[in-house]
Amino acid sequence: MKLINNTTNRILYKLGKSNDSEIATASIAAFKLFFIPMAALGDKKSTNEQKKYVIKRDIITETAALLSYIGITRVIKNNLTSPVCKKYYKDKAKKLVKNRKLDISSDDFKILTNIDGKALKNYAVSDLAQNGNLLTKEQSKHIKSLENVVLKFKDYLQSPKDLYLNTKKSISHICVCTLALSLIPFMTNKILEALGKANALKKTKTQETFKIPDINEYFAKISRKDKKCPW
Amino acid sequence: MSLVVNFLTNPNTANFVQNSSLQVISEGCLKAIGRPAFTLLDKTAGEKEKKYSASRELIYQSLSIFSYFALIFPIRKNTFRLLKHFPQLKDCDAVYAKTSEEFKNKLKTLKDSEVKTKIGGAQELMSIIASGIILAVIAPRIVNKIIHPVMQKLDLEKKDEQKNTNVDIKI
Repeated sequence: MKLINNTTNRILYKLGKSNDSEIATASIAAFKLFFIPMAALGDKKSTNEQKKYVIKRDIITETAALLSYIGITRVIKNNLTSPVCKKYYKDKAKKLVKNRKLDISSDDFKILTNIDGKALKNYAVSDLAQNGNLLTKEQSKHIKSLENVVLKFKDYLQSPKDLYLNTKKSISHICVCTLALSLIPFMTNKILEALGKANALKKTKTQETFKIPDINEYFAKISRKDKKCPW
Repeated sequence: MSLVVNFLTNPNTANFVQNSSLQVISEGCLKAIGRPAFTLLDKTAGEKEKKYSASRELIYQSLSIFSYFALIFPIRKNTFRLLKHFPQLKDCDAVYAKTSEEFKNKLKTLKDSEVKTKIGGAQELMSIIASGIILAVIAPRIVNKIIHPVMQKLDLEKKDEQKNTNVDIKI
């Protein structure tokens, strides 16, 4: 009971704090993986070939969707969020120097242009998973100095935590959209093609094993034997 | 490059993306274009199967988007009524609100940010479950009923092309 309570607690916190696109879309894909082929079976007016094709396609598509939403999206957002955040602070620092309306010291400029991506990630993730502090001493120093700079230019810069979480959500959604529009249906076509080829190979093999001997060839062999025959 | 970075780091983009209903709608719109198009490009199936599968997908995705507007948003508005059933939120006063306005006002005055986050999470969770039921259970059944009449109207299927189970063979 305690385990269920804790898990629900974590899920609620995670969904409330950072509801990344792949969570909703992957859970719906899991629902669809089971129910949509069942519904296709229930269509009484379609032919067996149509049903077979739709069910095959739906199962492959939803499995590909489920796996890629969880796998590909996670890999991309984990690897791309920190570089994008770093680029954001770098661009903003350069604009601050150009603007001249807001005075930025050389130390502040250095901090903004040399962000530690790992520190930024650990800082945001430790808060998200309620895991406590994941930062090393150096990393927490770095984040503190960054937060101080952000406080100075409050109206101009996003806080590191907000920036990381916002960017992660956006990347996740764009990734899901790209997968939905082109990659998943493309993958489905390729898988269907490979399955078709494999089936064709199987058929030719079975035909070869059960090949009916050619009568003419058989007689030709016999006649050749006859020629060799001494009597 | 900086345009992309600006778009990705914009808090407005993140606010739009945070809502699971909008996530599913935008994904559905893209699916309605991508999936039928790729189905028609498939070389492994016959024309009839491809047409059936593509139209099924198109009708299903369009219906999903329509049902989202019609059902999910009203459901989402009323999810606050079920919040009191979550043991994690039982101690919070806001979950016992009787109207959505009362709930919103109570939520604004709530100081505990963790409980606030969990309330948002519970609403998202219920919205995902409702979406799953609507999209995976109800919508495909409706598609089964309307697909053949729609295909016939669009001249993608003839009436006699449907499954003939009682074929009389006369010798």
